[in-house]
Amino acid sequence: MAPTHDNYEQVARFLDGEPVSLTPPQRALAEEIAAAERSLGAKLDADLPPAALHRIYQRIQTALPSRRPAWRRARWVSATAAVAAALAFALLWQPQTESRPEGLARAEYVQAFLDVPEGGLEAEVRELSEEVAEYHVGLSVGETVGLEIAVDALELELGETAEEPDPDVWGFWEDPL
Amino acid sequence: MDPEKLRAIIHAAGSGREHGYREILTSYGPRLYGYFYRATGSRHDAEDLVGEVMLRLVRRLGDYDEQGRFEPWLFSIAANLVRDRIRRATTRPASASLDAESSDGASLVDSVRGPRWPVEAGLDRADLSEALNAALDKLDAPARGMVLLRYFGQMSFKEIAEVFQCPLGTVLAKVHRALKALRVTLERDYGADT
Repeated sequence: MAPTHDNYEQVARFLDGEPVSLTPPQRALAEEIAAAERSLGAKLDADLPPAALHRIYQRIQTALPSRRPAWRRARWVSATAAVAAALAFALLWQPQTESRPEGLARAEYVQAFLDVPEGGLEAEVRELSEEVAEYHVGLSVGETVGLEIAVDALELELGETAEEPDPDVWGFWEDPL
Repeated sequence: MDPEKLRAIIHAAGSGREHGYREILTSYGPRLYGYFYRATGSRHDAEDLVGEVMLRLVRRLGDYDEQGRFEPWLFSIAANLVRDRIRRATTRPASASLDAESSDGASLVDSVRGPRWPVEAGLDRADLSEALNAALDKLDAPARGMVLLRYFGQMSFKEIAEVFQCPLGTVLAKVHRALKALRVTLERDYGADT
């Protein structure tokens, strides 16, 4: 039989596992192709040398952006939350020594806060620093006022976590493949 | 591979977790390497392309449709890489480098410091491997790619037709002719029993 395009298509569907019925010549063609594929099959295999696998793995590790482990991401989430908390506190906190002018809009109040000369905020900053003494936060409010609040407790905790060693990824490659 | 395990590995690799892409590499690396080696005839290119396909894979895992089969998706990326590599090789002027290979697969580096790759077990197997490469090289690129995707990618003819964007009947016709040509070439030129 000289196979036609339609024959090939029908046989291809059959070989793909579709429920199609074949004529005897088509069935013979299907068996011939399946046998040829089986015969060639494993002869095509080529061993991947372990050293090559190692080099490929190194290349992937080098090329991919480093993804931080979950515990490292959690550290930044904590720090970000601390910054947000401190910022919210700084914006909402009303010092006892100054009263907020009646009817002053929040944006205006913030502006007024920022307009206070630098030295005038020292007492407030000190008090604020004590309030959030659990956190280490570098916080800048505008260009005129800088807040630096240091918290040793959290830093110590993060330092301990940061010491955690990375898993020994290369141990894997030492096993015979 | 167990579908649940595969799904977990893909998810891990997509999240950038090291064990995820390490598992994919160890599971599919040998077959990818075989595919690239037979498609290019070069171990150096095969290693380079396995690295390349892994990088593309990890970056594109977000596009992977979990309803589909993973292997055809992976090997379609591999097939595109081979096509690009062949296209570049035919348009780029030839240049010599230490890694450039002679017809017997040896490079200048090899000639200076000996075989770079472990010798395949047994001379017969090495001879057959070389004979296969030579026979595959005589096929046109699409036919060679289809035969290799059938074996290494375990792809259906329908999936191969999608990769090559040609009718189903055309794929089987090309594979049929390629298999016959391989058998004839190996028997005639190398006396190999296929």
